[in-house]
Amino acid sequence: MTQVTPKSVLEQISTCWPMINNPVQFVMRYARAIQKYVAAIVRDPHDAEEVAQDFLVRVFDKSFCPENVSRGRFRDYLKSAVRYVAISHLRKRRAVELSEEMLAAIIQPDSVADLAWTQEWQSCVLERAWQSLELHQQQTKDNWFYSVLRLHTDHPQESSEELAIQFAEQLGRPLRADAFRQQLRRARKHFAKLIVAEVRQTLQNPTAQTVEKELVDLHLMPYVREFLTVAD
Amino acid sequence: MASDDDRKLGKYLLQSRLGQGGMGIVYLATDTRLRRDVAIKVLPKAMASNADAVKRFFREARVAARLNHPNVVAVHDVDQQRGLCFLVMELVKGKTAAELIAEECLPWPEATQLIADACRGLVAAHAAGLVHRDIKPSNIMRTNDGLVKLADFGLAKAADDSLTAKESVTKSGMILGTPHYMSPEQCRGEPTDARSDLYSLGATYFTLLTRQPPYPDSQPMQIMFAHCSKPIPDPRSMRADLPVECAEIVLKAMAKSRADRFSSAKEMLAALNALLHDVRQADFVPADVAEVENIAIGATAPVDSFTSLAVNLPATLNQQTAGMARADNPTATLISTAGWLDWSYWASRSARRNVAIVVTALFAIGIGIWFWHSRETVQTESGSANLSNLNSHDSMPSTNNSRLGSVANVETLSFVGELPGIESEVRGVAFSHDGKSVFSASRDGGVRQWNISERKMTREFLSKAKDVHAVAASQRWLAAGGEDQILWLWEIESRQPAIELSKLPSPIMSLAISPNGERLAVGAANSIELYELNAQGGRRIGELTNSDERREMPSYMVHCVAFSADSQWLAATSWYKSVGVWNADNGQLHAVKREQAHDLMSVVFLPQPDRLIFGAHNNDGLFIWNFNDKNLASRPLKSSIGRNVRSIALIGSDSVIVNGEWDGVIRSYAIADDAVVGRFQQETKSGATNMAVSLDGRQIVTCGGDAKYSRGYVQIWGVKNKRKESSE
Repeated sequence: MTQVTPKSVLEQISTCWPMINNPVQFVMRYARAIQKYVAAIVRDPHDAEEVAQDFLVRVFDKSFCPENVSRGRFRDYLKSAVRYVAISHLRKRRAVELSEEMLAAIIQPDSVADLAWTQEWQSCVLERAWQSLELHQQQTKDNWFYSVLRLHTDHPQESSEELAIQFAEQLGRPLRADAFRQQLRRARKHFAKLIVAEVRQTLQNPTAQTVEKELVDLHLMPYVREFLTVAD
Repeated sequence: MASDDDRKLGKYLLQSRLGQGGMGIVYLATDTRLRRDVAIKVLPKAMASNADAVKRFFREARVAARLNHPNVVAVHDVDQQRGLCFLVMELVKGKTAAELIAEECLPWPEATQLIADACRGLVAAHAAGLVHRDIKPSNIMRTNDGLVKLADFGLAKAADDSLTAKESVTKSGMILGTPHYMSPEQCRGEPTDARSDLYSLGATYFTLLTRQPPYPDSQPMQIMFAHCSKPIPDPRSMRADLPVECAEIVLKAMAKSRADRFSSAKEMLAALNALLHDVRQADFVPADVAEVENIAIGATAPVDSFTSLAVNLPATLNQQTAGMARADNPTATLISTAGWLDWSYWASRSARRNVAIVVTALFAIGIGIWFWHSRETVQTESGSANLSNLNSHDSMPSTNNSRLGSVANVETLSFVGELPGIESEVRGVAFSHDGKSVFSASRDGGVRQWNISERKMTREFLSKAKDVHAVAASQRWLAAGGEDQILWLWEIESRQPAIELSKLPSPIMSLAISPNGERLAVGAANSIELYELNAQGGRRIGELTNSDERREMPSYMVHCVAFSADSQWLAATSWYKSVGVWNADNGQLHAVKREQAHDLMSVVFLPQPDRLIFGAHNNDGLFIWNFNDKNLASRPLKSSIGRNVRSIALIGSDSVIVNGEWDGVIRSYAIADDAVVGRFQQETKSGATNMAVSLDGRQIVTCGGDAKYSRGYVQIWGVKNKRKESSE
């Protein structure tokens, strides 16, 4: 187990994860995951708010001590930092001592809190990818990746013929179903690239293997599998 | 004293200092060539020394200078002299919105008008390709003539460019001004667009309505974290007189995801205008009565005649007048003294006041006083209750729900009493089949039975388990479970020891037994399980999944499970934003709905086929869903339910009792009318963790407490049906 001196924590984030040039903004990017994780550990909305605030104060003061930073993922690093603050809070709040069993239930990899963390982190990655896709559309002439993929995602049961008709109405010009399918494939490919790019930013030494593992761990493979060789 | 040369910046002569903000110091100056007074903003040196920032500043200032709109402070010139960058602007004499709310609370129509005018300026700016990036109350000015103007266009981005990324966020409190109005994407350092301005305008609207920012922390980090992750606050939780439309506009403008906000300033302006239009066309139902209590007083001849006079008034008013809320029911015309005072006050502030308004306002006050007596009773009855002053059988003060017209059955509650000696938070409650007892599950590890009429504990099923979160009862069986993950079962009458029916993989959060007594549903921290109840106890049928094809996500924090009245369906809500319906017989998933923005904690089936209502534990209240029509979106109910819906229960055929966790108010909601028809303040402000209804629908029991301070309660309430009573 690696102990980190309090003062070095934020600097370490910058050092270890060079792509993350602003750790505070990165914490904000995954704020929802932090909040859900805390809530799942302490199980009380009011307590969760207090813990989140405490965590932020410690981030700001650079004085928290996560116990494990060895795995090379910013996600794990942040998680251990949040967990440290949450468990400290529980120890202070609970009238009875936290038993080993209860601690184990929080720490074990498939715990409720762990699931919450992974799910919300995944949701944040996806949201970020959607935002980037929308920005890409705004900044690229005659690009409809965001609109096409959004339409398809919002109406999963509809055929490409039906979606092409809807999209043609948005565009104000006719569009064949095969043209829509082609646009959709390109959009999905670009979306996959954006997901991979976001995931890479959170890894210390992103390689094909570590990126793939992270994609699997975050249940993101269904979005990228088809395009992985290209995207990576 | 400095010489004229010292005070000169090009052709401008600085006269006096007007103020200082994050973007620099503002001076009153004279344009010596045109001989007119102007305002000059001299930008901070940090910015002037950054070539890229200066370049961008000049570019944006030039665009802003082309913008000629009455709701935007005109930019006359931009220059760099003596190493200083400065912007020459129209001199606006008046007050900022921040100063206005510092003086007094603005009536909501006035706040809405201010925001609408500012939004009009944004429409023009966005059309010109300008994004403001720093909308806040101190950048919205109202001139002495009543014109609203947006100031400081183009400055924020330039200032931001002059800082390192870390500085712009971590030191925003010092450098970029307040983070209170920053959009989540700004907090994350992501690119901004026009919708970022709409977020800030929404946050500003919130502040104008409530006199406090949406997330009133003092630390910039915490404020930004809140913008990124915390539920959007409902302004009505701070100011109950606001119409629901105000809250809807705030909530939409401040959506975390840009895709969920108004798509443009034009769209937001349309919503604001619609609200103001409604005000002008209002039936003069004052907000405090319509929203706070939703109580209608019988329309009488004086009311009608007054209403017709009042409805004609807006034609004579300009758009900044009138202060009335819209009526939910056009026939239920009401007058509130407070509302009219509010209106006359505001009318008198209007820039284009006229005598007719004042005369009418005075007349309104007179009518209001005339009505005071009739309303007095209502006000007294709707006051919050002080339970400590009540004897156990005292009637709880309750709302007088004498609504007009053919309103559906209106349920009202009367406080019956509180169970004594409860020291630990109570997480689950259930009525016995005969309605004479209540079972409770507590954090202290106890599962207990209480006699309601004697108000004493009659049996302790468990006493030293870990936190027990849930309890459910049928005529024969009592089930309970909690932190230790064990599903306990007792045969109530036999007094046999408990059966350990199962040990689940995660803590048990919620339990329900089907009305026919044959099924037991268990909502756990990461699973939902279904059991068959039989003569021997129970048998596990299996784990239910709520995954759909697109997103394979496990269940998570299942806070509520419920059966339909015919025992055919089982519903469960997950804190991870989903609600599912399963066939209660075989456990097959029937339908699942994901609500991306909502943490769901409660669900109840309605008597109508295929319908259920679920409650969101953030700001969005109740949703009604037809689970047999998969293409049909769940519909948010319009009425003000309050925030953080924690538990709901169905009473009779058309009323839902709702508890909002953070305000401690129990609301009676009429489905047919989509209206809250009664509010009942509990002693606790933390709200009811859970509630249960007796089989005959004549009693409800609420429970809760405070985990931190080891307090708990179980309260019994009598249910009265006003229509039935009046006909009886």
